[in-house]
Amino acid sequence: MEKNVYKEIVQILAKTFKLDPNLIKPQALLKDDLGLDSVDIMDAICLFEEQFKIKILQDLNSIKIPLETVDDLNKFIQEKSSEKV
Amino acid sequence: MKRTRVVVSGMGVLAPNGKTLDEFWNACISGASGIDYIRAFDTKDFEIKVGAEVKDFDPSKYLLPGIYRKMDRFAQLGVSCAKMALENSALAVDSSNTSRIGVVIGTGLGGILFHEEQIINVIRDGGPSKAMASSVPRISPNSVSSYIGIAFGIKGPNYAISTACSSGANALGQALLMLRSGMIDICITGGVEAPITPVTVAAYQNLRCLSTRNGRPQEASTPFDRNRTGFVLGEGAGILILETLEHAEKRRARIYAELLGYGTNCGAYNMVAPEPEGVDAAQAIQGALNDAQILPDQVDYINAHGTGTVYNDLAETKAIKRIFGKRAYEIPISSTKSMIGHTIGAAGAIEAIVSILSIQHQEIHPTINLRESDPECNLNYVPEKSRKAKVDVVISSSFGFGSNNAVVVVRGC
Repeated sequence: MEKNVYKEIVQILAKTFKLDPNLIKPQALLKDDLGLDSVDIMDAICLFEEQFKIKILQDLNSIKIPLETVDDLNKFIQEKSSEKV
Repeated sequence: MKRTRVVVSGMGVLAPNGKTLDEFWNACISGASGIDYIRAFDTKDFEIKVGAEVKDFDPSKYLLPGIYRKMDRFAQLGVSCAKMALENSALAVDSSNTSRIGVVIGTGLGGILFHEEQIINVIRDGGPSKAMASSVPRISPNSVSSYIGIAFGIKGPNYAISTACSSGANALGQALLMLRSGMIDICITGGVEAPITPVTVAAYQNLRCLSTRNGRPQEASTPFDRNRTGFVLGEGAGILILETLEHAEKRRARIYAELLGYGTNCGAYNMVAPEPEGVDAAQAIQGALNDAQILPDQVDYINAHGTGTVYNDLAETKAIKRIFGKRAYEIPISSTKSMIGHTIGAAGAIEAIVSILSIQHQEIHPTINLRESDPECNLNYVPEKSRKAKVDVVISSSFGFGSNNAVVVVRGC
């Protein structure tokens, strides 16, 4: 399950932002390595909401741990998905 | 006090019949049309099947993915074209000049393609969560001018101008005024439009202003012809690098032409129909000539607005007769739109580039598809075949929806 979520995150990022999937590693920095800005992150969050059937956009401002790497995104989505369960 | 002179030191074009200056000019001179059946979407249920698209436009040839993926097609065209124009001008942008470079780009509709896609996502497919956050910067008309600033590190005054079909000409005029004022030394200016989208084509179709000649696309645009039925919607971009003559000479820039004059007004008549006697259009032409300090007798060529609608072509003909009198029957006039359709916000800029290339090459491109003369449009429209001519002073006219009229005058250097 966890591996699948990570794989889907990579696919969404690669397709949406025209990125080479090989560059999307867990420790890749969203901004400095993948070139994503704050608006891109919001777009990605909308797509993750649809893909994983979760609501996270409204919680974006109250996130305590910053989303800086791909793994940060992965952990955040996993956490939100388990809350739904 | 001597007035600051403004010159053109670089140009770039992305047009339905050419994606470089040479390709575009050679196509225009040979009367090659860029109009074809629309490929951008399925026109099965549309009355209109033809449009003038920039064929095989690939933004990755000009820009990095990190930049172009954030843009609607119209901004991709505009920023790619700006890159070509900057390279053509050999202008180096650095910390010493970046704040003295302005960006003023004309566009009628902005990011209309992306806007339509988002409307479908939200309204048809599932509510507000489907709207992408990046819609806001993508749709905004100023995304093209802002991304030119961002892509090339340009920090001077930066904005978009929207006056429908005269947006490109108004942008050039505004750039001219800014340069003359001393606010900036250089300006990246021009126009861009990507209007071939389902809702836009449907709306223009229902306004009954588009050519209904779907049988042979290359013959669909028929400016000044007796049987003209409307214009063909086109997309494209035209970008010019303007700078003060002093600045251009200091850096030994190649100078194509001088932007000599600009006239603009609003006819306050109607949002979609031109004032039928051409009075206000004539005043815009006269305003441009006055600003250029040029007499009507000195004009060698008129690049017309020439859309191919019944009303524009007649009103424009009357306007030309008002200003030029008997000489109106002698001055060569041609319509670029006969080959590239009506590129709305890009038209005034692309046609200014045509005007300058006419001076460079001492040749005037034809108005194609002019098969049967209209007794009321009885001027010298250079039908079907290009013509060698002495070309030094050219006026380029744009008469837009909203009664907006904008005319520029260019002269060889």
